Amino acid sequence: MYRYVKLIILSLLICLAAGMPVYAAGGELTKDSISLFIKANEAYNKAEYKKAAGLYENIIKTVQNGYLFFNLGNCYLKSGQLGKAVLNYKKAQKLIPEFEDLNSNLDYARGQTKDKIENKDYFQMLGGLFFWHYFFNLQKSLIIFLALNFLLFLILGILLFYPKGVFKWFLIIISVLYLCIGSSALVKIYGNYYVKEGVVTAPEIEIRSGDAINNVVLFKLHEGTEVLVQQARGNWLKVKIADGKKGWTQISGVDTI
Amino acid sequence: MITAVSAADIRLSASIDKNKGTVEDTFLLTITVSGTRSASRPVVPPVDGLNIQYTGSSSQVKIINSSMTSSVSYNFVIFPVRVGDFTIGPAYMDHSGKRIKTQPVKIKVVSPKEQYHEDEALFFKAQISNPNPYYNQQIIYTLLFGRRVEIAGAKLDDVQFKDFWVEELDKQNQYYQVIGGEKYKITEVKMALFPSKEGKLTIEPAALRCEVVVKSSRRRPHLFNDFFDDPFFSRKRTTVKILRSNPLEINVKPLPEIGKPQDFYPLVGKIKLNTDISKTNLKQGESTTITLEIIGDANIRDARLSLPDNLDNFKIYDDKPIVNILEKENIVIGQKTFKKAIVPQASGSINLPDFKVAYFDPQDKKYKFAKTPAIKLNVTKSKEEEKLHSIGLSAGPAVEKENIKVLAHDIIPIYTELNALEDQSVKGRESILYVVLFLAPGILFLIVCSLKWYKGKQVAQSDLLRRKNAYKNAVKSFKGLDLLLKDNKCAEFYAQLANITKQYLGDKLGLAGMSLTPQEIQAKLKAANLPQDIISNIGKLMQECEFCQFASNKSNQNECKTVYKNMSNLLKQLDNLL
Repeated sequence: MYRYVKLIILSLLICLAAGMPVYAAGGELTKDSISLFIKANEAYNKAEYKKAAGLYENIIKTVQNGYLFFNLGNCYLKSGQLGKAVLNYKKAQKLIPEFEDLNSNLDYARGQTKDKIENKDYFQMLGGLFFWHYFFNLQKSLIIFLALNFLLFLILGILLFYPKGVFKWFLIIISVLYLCIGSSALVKIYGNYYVKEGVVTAPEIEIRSGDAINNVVLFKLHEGTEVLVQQARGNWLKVKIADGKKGWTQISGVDTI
Repeated sequence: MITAVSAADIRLSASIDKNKGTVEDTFLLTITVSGTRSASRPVVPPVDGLNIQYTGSSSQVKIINSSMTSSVSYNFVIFPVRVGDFTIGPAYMDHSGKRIKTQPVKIKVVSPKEQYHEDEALFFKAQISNPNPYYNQQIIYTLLFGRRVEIAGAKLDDVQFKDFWVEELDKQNQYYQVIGGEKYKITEVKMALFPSKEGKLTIEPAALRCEVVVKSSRRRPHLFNDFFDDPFFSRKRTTVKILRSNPLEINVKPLPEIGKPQDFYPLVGKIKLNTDISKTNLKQGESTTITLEIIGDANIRDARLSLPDNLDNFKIYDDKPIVNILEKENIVIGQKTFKKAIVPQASGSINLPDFKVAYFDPQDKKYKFAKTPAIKLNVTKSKEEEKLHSIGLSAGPAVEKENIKVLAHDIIPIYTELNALEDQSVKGRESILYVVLFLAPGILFLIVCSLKWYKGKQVAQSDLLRRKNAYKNAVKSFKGLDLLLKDNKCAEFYAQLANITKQYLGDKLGLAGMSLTPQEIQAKLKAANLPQDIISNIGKLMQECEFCQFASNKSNQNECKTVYKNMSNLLKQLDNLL
């Protein structure tokens, strides 16, 4: 009997140990990227925002980090490119949703946009109830989920041989956490790979009823407004805004996240 | 009782009813000697242009908290002879070989026409003590209501002072003055104003509503007119008059920028900082209370006391400051008292840093500092925890709260930590690893479940086989018993028979039967719900086998055969039931 318990624990520990490199393999900082980062920071502090933005863009080609997108957003906001600022803040939000300064600057940038749109995203409105969803990025959600997955099966394994005792309660607690984090990770994966968000980066774009220039202009959007990209066809994107209005616009005026 | 009073205990002060008047006026000078009632009359030195005459004295005794203070007031009337500025005194008296003096008193005597242009029965005028004050410097605004007719009542409307902080002086002055040969009754109302804006300011006219008594005399001149002019006989009515004062122009000078201290709160005037400390010898962690009193003719209501820089050795707890507004010699004197509980954090002889307050002196036209004197605290070490002793301080912070004014909006600056260069994206290679790590515990769990199930199945199968072949094996084993009977080995026969029976029962019940006792066998069979007679028969036969193994001399071959036959039948019966 003990042989089996040992076997389960040993196997699960091997799984956990194998998972560690995923988290640990975060960053190998190169001298070049550090040097570029320092130069970009200096340029920003000297109010050379366009130069700083270029340097941050160069780093982002090799390293995807929320703080870099945040800094880039700041550069664009300071240099008057509201659309690109919102775009980069949104990119940063996917990687560092827990960073309060980011949300503050994003709110500031949103406050500068022209279009007033009534938000009908009820899930986002209930954000307070699903706070954990907005607190971890996808990577962290997955790591927590894997750890809970490991614990869940470990407890199930123990219960297989010792069905009585406190492990039942552990199983209930872990199961609840497993469902919460697991569903959040699933929503994030869905959002990352299947939902395309975009931001208007041109000063003004026209939203038409179809994907051709001869279609009727339904409404106009201005720089910094966030849209949901539903479909791409040639040089045209089908976009939807927060209040539910949708239409087609040319790809040049919208940058996708 | 006569007590000796030293010169140090005696104080002499001088006061005058008004500082400005005409040559037609009289001034009343009062010299007060406090601390004794037996001193000689003070001497007022003669002044050229003034005729000073002594009119009498009055004495006062006050008993406060069982301590008695006495004073004598000597009154002098001053008759101006000519116009001009005069300084009276200092008046003096000699006591115990020492000369005690008053402060000098200044008066201004003007010609009646310069003072008032009115020749009416009523006038209402506004005056200002200084038409060119500095920003926030005290100026005295005086309203003069003069009348030489009887009035039934007068009411001053609220005076609106835009761009001034106002402190009202409670006392109203009333006196008589001769203007243009007519005797007027004058009522003076004074207010202290502090300009809160620089440049040219205007004080709008004040309004006074009064009811003037008018005698209605329809009688012709008569010998007895004087008699009938008596109020008892005269019929009187009143008419309401609204008088307006003259507007006043004031040019408020800005405070100079040169030499202005940092974070200067505009205290303009003469300022003193009085200090008092409750104790200077204390234990570490104990508190002492320092009382700091800013006093002066500036607008001290919002005065702030800057904390000294080096307060590392102290903890300071503030109490709410108390403001008192006093009136002295026709000006407002403000008094703001700060109480601070000081808890030394170190031991030894510690110098308390200076508290100071900056102010602008309009006379010297310079910024100055009023400072506390050097205070040394002797602090002894204490093992007790720091306690803030209650010293009458109210709980809560002393600083007055203000709403935060948002001056501008801006974004939060960039993130500069190097962890901004760590890659946070989920790459394809990692995705595979995530999937593997997600599936691995589940797969392992399934493997373990399968192994457990397989093992359980195996055990179950072997038990079944054992049970199925139990009787067959027992019958096989019985053949060996025939040989033992032939050789007449009864003891071995019984031992073998007991073992065969135990093995059979063990196989049937899924137990290790060889170690069972007859009692244990009976209990197991009972648990298997077998009929009681079979259970008791088995028990009996097993006991017989056990007994005969160790007492073979008591048994013979026939008995062995009987037991064998019975056991064989019983096992057959059991096989049908189990």
